[in-house]
Amino acid sequence: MLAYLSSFFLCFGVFWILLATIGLHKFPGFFYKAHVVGKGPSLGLFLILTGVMLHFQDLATILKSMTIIIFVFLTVPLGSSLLGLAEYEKLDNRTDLDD
Amino acid sequence: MNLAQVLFSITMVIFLLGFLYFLRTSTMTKKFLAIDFMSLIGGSVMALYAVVMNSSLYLDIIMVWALVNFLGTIAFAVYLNGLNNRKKQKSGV
Repeated sequence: MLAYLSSFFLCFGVFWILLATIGLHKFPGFFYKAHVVGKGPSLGLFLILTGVMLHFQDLATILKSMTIIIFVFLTVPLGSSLLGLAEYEKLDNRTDLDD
Repeated sequence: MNLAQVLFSITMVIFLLGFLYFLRTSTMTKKFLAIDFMSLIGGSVMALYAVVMNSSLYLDIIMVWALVNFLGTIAFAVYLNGLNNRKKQKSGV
């Protein structure tokens, strides 16, 4: 039963990361892509690590995974926001967001 | 050939798609976005490898990898902001 649940979470996580990759190619501008990079793989990693947690069923694995997830959720959107700041300072016409 | 191995290979292909985006763009900031993206995909590859090898010791590497890549992204963003400031100084704004 737990094996089915863990495989469901693993599949869903990989599918989410695939959607994020397609969105990275298709979204029309820098700031949309910064959203994708900040949010997509973080959630995908969260789902995959949930599947890993259900697969191993060990306290050490659960604690390690939660530490990784907390760190990734705190730092990755911050990094993509800083890249957005670097791009925003470069623009001359601040109302033009597509390129 | 069980499910974890199939998902592992699919995630490697997704890593290659992220690198394809890196090759496609010409802007610097978009290339750094692609690098950040690829680092997170690499983290998921490591997590799936832990399931494939059935050993939970491979999860320790993800923490170090996420930390180092976060510091790298911050360094890139500060460097790009410095370039912008220098450009603005030159043009006299």
